[in-house]
Amino acid sequence: MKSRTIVPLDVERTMREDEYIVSTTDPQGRITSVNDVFVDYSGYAREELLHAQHNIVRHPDMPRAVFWLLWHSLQNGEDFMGYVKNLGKDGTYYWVFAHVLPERNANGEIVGYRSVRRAPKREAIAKVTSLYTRMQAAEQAVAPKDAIAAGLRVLGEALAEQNLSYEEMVARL
Amino acid sequence: MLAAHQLRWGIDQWVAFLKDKTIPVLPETPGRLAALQEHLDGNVAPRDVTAIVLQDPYLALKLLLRVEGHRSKTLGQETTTALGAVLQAGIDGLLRTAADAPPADATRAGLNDCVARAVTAARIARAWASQRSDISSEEVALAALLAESGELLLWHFAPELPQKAMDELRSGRALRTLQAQQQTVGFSFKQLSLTLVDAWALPVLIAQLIRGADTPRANIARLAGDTARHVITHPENPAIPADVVYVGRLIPGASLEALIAPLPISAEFKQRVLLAVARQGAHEDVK
Repeated sequence: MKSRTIVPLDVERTMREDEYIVSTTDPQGRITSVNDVFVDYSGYAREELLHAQHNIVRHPDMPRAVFWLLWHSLQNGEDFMGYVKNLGKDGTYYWVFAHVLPERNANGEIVGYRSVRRAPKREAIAKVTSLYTRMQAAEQAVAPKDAIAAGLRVLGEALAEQNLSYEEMVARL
Repeated sequence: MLAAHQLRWGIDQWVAFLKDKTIPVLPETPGRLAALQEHLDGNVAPRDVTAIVLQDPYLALKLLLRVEGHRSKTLGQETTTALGAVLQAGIDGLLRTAADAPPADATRAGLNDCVARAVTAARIARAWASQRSDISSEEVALAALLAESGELLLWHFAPELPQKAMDELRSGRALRTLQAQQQTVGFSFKQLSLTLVDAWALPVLIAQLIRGADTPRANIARLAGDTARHVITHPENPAIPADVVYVGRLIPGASLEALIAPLPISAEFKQRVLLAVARQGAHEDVK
């Protein structure tokens, strides 16, 4: 079931400190493995998750620019870290701090991605929510083809204000 | 200060420029070696100086270039560990190498951060790799130490370039490290490192580990580098628990305490990381 057919509720599920969502995808973002915690929080059965696109849990509040940054980092062989709001099958949401790594074969070619997601600090959620709200407002104020650039511009300006790289900002939130 | 034409150089020109330059050593390295000699009354063992070599990626690179340059290509094994390089050079050879070298400019914050990442990565890599009996922790440590050789040389000989890349990131004009480097100089610093390694004809294993194929040694070296970067960025970086989860898959027999122990983070944060990853689900393999 795609996330757009689900009505988001203002109901949050909070991950415990000692829980991890671990999953892998192929290079095209199709889920190839999940753990029980992913099944639990997403609300989907394992069979529904496997082979689905990872955006099955994408929340409509998330700026498109964040996912652009995620995929461009991974496709260029870099890891990605960030705060992500996810949508469960039942409309509830859960925040994660996501760390995603490319996986390579013996020739060094990227053959997929592995993600570890865990509970973020509450104070980080408040700060990133403010940033994401501004990014999404910018994205929605322009034509869809210009949305990602608009979101990235807001993110870039936030970094410049703090004189921090994206990675430094995320680490300090 | 770089000349205007140098700002337009491509990777091949930078490799040609850098590969024959006199590599510096960290300003504290000669003092450390002298103090070691004094403390041991001149009876310095190779392992003692190896510890100092692993704290100075410039010295490690100089030493490796020296011994590989003297090795017969048809006879003699490649040198792939810091201890091996020390043994090949001899204590006197090492001391001469360090004494004759110019000092790196330790006033540059970016250079110090790059050195810290390399040294930290080597320390973590060695500790993690030692948890597996089927790989040489010393080889993994040397590869992790030298993985940023390109950027280390740029910080000394052309600091404008890595500084510009850092400015791209902190200005928001680039959101990814590779993007910043491409926008600034047109190539990645990792590619510069690999091209230099080829130009110097350094051991194939070193190049393989830096390049990062899917082998336990290369994966541990790469993860150690990522973790070092995370720790240097922030000592309580939220990425650190995931780093431990990832490396745990590569070293399934290691305890979580052993994987966390070498991380240069506070004891209190180590305990929090341990609690965060200790639940069985975090260490399980996925289906």
